[in-house]
Amino acid sequence: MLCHTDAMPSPLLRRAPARSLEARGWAGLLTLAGALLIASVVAPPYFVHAAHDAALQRIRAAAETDPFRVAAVDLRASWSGRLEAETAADLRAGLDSLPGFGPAEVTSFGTGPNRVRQPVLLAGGRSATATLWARDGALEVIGGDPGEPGIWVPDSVATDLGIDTGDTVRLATRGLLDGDLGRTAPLPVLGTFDPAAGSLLPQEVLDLGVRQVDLPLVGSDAGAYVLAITDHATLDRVSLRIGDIPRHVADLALAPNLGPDAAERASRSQQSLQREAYELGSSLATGLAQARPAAAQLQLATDLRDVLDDADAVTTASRAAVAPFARATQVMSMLLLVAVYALWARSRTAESWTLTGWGLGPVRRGVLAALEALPSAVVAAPAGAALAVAGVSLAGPPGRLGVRDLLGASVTTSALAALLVVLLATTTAVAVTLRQEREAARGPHFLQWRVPWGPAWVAAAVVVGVAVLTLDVDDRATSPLAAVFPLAVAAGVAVVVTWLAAALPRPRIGREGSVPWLAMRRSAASTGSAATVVLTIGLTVLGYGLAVRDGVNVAVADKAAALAGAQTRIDVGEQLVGRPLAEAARLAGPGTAVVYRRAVTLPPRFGEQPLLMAEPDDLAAAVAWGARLDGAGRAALRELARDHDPEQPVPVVLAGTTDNRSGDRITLTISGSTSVEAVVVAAVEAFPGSESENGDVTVVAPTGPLLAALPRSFRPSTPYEETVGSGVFSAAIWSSVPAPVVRQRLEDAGLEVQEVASLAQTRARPALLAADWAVGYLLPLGMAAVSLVVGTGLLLARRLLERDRVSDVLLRHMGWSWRALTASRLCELVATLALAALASVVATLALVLGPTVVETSADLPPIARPELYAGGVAWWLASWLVVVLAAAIALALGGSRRRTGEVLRDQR
Amino acid sequence: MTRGKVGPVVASCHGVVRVFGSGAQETTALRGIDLALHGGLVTVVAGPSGSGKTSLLRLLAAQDRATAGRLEVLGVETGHASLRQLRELRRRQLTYVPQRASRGLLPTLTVDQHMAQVAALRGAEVDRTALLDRLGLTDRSGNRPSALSGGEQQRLAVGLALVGQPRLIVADEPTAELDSENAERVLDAMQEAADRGAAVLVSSHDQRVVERADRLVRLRHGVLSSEWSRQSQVTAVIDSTGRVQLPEDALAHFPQQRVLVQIEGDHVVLRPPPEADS
Repeated sequence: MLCHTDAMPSPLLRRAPARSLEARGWAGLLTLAGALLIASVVAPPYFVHAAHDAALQRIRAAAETDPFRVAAVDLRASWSGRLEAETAADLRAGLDSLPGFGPAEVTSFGTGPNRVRQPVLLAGGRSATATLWARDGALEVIGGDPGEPGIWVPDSVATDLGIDTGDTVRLATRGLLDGDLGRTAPLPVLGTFDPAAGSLLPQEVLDLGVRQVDLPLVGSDAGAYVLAITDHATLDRVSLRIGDIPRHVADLALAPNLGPDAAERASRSQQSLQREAYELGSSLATGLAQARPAAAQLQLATDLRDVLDDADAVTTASRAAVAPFARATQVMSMLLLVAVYALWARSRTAESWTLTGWGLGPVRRGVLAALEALPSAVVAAPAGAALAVAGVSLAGPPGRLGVRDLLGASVTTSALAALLVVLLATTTAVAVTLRQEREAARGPHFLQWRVPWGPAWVAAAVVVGVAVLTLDVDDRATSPLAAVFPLAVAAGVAVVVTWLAAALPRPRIGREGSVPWLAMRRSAASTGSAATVVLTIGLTVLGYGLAVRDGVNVAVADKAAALAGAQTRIDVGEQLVGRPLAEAARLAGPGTAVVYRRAVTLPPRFGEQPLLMAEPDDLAAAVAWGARLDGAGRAALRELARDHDPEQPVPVVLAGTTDNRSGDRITLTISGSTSVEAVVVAAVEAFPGSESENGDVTVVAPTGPLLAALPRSFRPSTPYEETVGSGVFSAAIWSSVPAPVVRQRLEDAGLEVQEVASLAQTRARPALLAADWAVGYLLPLGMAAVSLVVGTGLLLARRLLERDRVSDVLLRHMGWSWRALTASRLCELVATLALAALASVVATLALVLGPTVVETSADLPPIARPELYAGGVAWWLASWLVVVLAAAIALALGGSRRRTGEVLRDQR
Repeated sequence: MTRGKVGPVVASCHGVVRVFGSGAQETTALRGIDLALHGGLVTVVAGPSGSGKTSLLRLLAAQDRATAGRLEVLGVETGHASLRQLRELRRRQLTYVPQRASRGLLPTLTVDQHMAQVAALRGAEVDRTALLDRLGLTDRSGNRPSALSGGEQQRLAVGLALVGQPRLIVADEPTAELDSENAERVLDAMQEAADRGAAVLVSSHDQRVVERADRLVRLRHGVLSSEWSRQSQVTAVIDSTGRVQLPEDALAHFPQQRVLVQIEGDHVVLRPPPEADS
């Protein structure tokens, strides 16, 4: 009947994928955990893509609106001289083919008036200063024909010269010293035009996008200078004939909403064209060298590279800022997956022993586990990728995720993450097998050793805590400890709390035979400490994540306020020296404060510190406060604004790092032997605008009392010549009014604006922008934490149901109702969840009050740290209640489905 | 019943002790067992509940290791064998039928798939139809264990133990839930395995099993108390430390629980000591 063979298919392996699907609940949980893990792996690259795109768009927009930057990311190519037709065509084709840029709009013009020669238009013995000008499409819009040689002149010039359409005029350049005209070139007048008000060109041409600033030098007598419109070929030919040098400018607009990759390609192509223009032997360089009257040089100008580099800097900062959150999410997802698989394996202990008894070793069991996990991994891969896209789109940076980005980042990463899911399941199965085999094989020499998880977690928490404390705050956020720290602390606290709970005497709850009594009896024998630790980790990460979100949001607002000081801040340097304070305030206009600055020393403190002097009320109205600084700062300024007794020291507010407290007397050494006694009315962490290159504490003093205490030579209203040796205050205008308005006011008053800063620009600094966006990642982290907690709650419910399978039947026969038994289990579950919640509260408080690990830009004050607000606490409580509710439903549904016969039959 | 030739020793125990737990919770299940199992014989282990039958069977089936003593199974000293050696032993050469048959079956495989799976593991080809017919499971070949009755599960578990000509078959109460007809089927199958040279070790209270035994050993309080085989009458067993357990009827002669041992020629005479003068 029996014969040996080695080639036999294994039904166990063949049925493995379907086997996991039959356990629908477990397969569902495994898929959920897998999807979370895959999402946690896929989301960071998505996040970085979105951050890169958002940074590019934001910086591009800022660059384009910055009044000091011309053209921004658009490209301007310029060359001079007349190129051979073939070279000109090649250059034009090269420009038009640059990816990411629109078609080249070429403008050509002759040399404007200069100190030596002047371009002129001559007719009937009269002349007018005129330069030839040509642009793609200009002749067409004014009714001309680009192929017809000739010029169009303004109506006024035609009248002045007594010429009309069809007449011939001559063009020349006239020497300003000797009146020599040199060679002249005759050209027919093809038409006349009416220039737009304030411009040299007709409105139709201006509508093509020609900017006034791009026109050739107008000179001091703009009214006597005109542009004669012609075509490119005529301009080239005539300019050379009259001894002028034609100049050409090609403007290429960068396509709107260009993504980072496309913008990078555009920048590289532009750089490549620039290199080609200088590369000896290239056809372009050769053609440029043959230009007339002299070799031409092609110049390509754009800020695109700078903008891209800035966007890269923001992206790098975002990647670093989000890394701890991303790592924490990955660790938690892995924890959830391993927990689900390990508990599933535990629910199949009998099967597992059968396989061990059959001699299936770890390798075969690993393969089996891999095949079992495969369906979940296959479903989880796209689900996880979709989850990551949804998370980043909802809560990530406001950048766009293109299909290419999505596919590029998701296919490979999702596949690798799915492999990780399978690998984790396999590893867990192998570990379970080895453990069973070792248990079966324990002999006389076998030392039964288990990992002391409790002490290990506590030790890990202590070690990680000490390590965090020894790290400089600058380095904490980028250290892997930032991800491990909350988990280690949560686990350590959970262990300690469960130890304490076990050590406390158990209260007698309920009479014998009641539901609470049964719950107490059962929970005494249960081993829920592992579940308590996992629940605590999930709840703590949720609570801590919410606190970090609030803390970072507050810190970003505070840091921006500390840096900028106001919605708008315009430095005017020493231009207000010698002006009375009232006049200076009037120049700045309403909604502003004039803030005078200089350096002081605060003996015995070493080094110079910044001093801000302003009217407290004006300052309070103009200043942009951070979130956390608002109340304290305003209160401090109110103190400064109180009536001051001239006999008393000057009241000041200290902002930044200081050992001084309210009421302390200090000395402000203004200059040399000049000192002022002051009293500290408040010491605050940071003050809007307090950031300075020098010093680490800013002194804020009210104008009136401080000036009263200073000698006249120190006052801003004192003219320069009377301030010798005293030094002067520089001034800045702080305002809640938008920058252009303030700027206009100051320029109208004849002040030269030196530097403009705004709160919006400050918030766009890479570190702050990155921190702001990274906070969005806390949503997926929170989702992972809630999933971990809900998953653990459900698993706990399932374990309780499994544990009570037989005893429930017996208790039913003894008269207990299903409802009472379920209520008893619910009591146990709620007790475990309550213990976890207690441990989580302790752990979260320890994390919030302990050393911060979320500081993303320690070089900017103030330090970012987690903050607990009512909203966060409410979310946390709601999540906990959801877990209780989900577990209660699972308990009720699981218990009601049982049939006595089935339970007992399985126990045979 | 026909009996095959007694084969070589397949497994042997020398002073085997098995202690469960530690400290105050320590329970000694086996106290110095000396036993040799020969191929070709059906050995039945009998004894009251808690006497150590299952512990002994699990040790001999390489499912557990002894606390002390020497245990050799199919040439492998299990006390010092590697996990790999034990795994190989379980997979290829010995089979174990647990006390609860359902614990030896996988809920997701059908009867037929169980057979195929175990055959694949043992590298054997099996005429499943014949084996299932033999065990009365032909109609149930497509069913999973949850659809089988307790008796059918037990027959399936025994059937799996017979796949691949193992050299040692260990079965813990294999007929516990079977009616006479099915018990006979199972015992016939085991007898056939023994006739092919396998050592069959069965624990049972079942008189039907005891009657089919080639050798019967009785366990009491973790000690082999007596032994019977078709070649000899009932004999008490002296363990490696010289202890012997007397049968209950003999114990009645020793109310003081003390004995005088006298050697008279080729006899050893046990007498109760004389009662002390009052």
